[in-house]
Amino acid sequence: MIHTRDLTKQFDGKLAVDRLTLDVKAGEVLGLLGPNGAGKTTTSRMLACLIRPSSGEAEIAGFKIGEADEEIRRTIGITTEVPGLYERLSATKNLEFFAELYGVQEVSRQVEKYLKVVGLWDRRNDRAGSFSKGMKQKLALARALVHEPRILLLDEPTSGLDPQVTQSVRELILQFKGEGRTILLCTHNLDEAERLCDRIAVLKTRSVAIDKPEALRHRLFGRRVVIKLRAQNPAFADAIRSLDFVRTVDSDEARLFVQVDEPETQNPVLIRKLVEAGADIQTVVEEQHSLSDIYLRLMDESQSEEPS
Amino acid sequence: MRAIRAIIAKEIADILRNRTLLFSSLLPSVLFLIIPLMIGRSAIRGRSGQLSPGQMGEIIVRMSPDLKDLPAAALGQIFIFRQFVVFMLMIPVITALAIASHSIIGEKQTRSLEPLLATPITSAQLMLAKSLSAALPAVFLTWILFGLYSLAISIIALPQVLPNVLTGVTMMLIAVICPLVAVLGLSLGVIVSSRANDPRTAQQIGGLFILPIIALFTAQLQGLYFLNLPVVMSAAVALAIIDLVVLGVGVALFDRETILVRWK
Repeated sequence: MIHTRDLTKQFDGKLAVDRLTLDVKAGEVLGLLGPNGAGKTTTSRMLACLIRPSSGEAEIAGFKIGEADEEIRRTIGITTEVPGLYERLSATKNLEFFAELYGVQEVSRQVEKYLKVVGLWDRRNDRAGSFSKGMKQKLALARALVHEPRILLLDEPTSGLDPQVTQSVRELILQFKGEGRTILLCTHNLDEAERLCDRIAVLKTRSVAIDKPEALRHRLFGRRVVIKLRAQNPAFADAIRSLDFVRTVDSDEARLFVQVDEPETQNPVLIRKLVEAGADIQTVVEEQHSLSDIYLRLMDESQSEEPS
Repeated sequence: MRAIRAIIAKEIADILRNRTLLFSSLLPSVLFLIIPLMIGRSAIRGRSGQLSPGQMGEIIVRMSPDLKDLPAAALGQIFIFRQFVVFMLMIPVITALAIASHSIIGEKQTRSLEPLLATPITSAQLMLAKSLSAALPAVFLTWILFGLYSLAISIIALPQVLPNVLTGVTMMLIAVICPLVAVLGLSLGVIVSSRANDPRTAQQIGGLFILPIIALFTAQLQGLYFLNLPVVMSAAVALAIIDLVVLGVGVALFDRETILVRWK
């Protein structure tokens, strides 16, 4: 649904996005992660045909940017980092205005539908300026959807919201995902990316990594099983080192850390071997790395790859 | 067309809810109506400032020799009320400038331009809609105030005065020059607003652009030039050319990328 090839943007000779290649499938939620200035918003703006790429190409729903910008804008819905509402106008007037600009046929029906979806129907006649930050963000989401776009570009949709509103906005995003919409989610929030995204792309001007969080976790950290023992004995580590599928074994006073490729099939063999060696096993768990660990590792790696 | 209509309707709704804007554009406009009438009234009572009624009569007869048979008092009143038609051209400039700068800077302040630019509307349509939203109220306001000005003249001045104020030159000024200066005002509003972050700053900078009108008004009042149809038509052509140039600069500034990246 969204394809970019070597998409690049320079501002006054300074690279903002460097040769970004992305493929987002229909119905997929792709999280764009990265530090401030990594190029997330610039990427989103290029995909929304708001700014022109310096080089490279991109195709949205079959339309090439630079060739069919109006069709692309009709196909996508966008929320920006700040809601950007007309504060003197009511919630209804804000949505009606955008519905008219997008050429929506049944304006009143669509406005009612999305004000109800975001829970603002009861406040429909109130000025947007009187809304809380969370309500404004929800109205901005309704605005992005009023023309039924197949693709949503969401830039920091929960930034600065309290946990309760954040949760309800995330539920809305999951609802839009459930409706089969393709979503590009720019976020700083790693927890949000973990909960909402099928895949994540880590940006730091250029793309550092793109994959499912689980696949990135395995690629960066491998899979380690942590075995807690009633009592430690050097013979236990020696016993499992003899197994050909065991990659590394580390230990502390009560635990063994065993790196394997497929814990699902290899753990039973591992446990049998330890029991045969006389180990009393208390727990066996796979070591978990958070998305934050993945992100920080990728940032470290990209830092070390940069020319000094 | 639907998108342009929607933007104009939204802008007008927004203007009507914006008390600061209404105040800042209506108050000067009403003053531009009241000041000429007050000066005209003083002239009628024989307190005309620098020029005597005789001098004013001489100037007006030089401008329109066919009026030489009118009484001196009527000639003096015709002189005063004709001069202030030029003065009223400040209304469309100031109003269009105020609306355009409030509209654009307001969008910059609330960051509502980006979602607007993400819609399928073209940059030219957006500029056209914003321009019409600023120019139409400015022109209509001028026409309404000019109507009130004419009505007041018919009440306070001698009966020969109004027909000799509503001349071809005056109608050209109000019907043709007024929309052209409104376009100039809004284009300048767009240009100034692209660099300013506060509507008052934009209006203060834009206020400099009414100085040429004040200069024209003063020069005319001193009898340094006479407005006749060829002069007004030449001015209309010159203004149309200036409008095209300034509008072109405004359209260039209305490019999506320029707005998002360069506008501060």
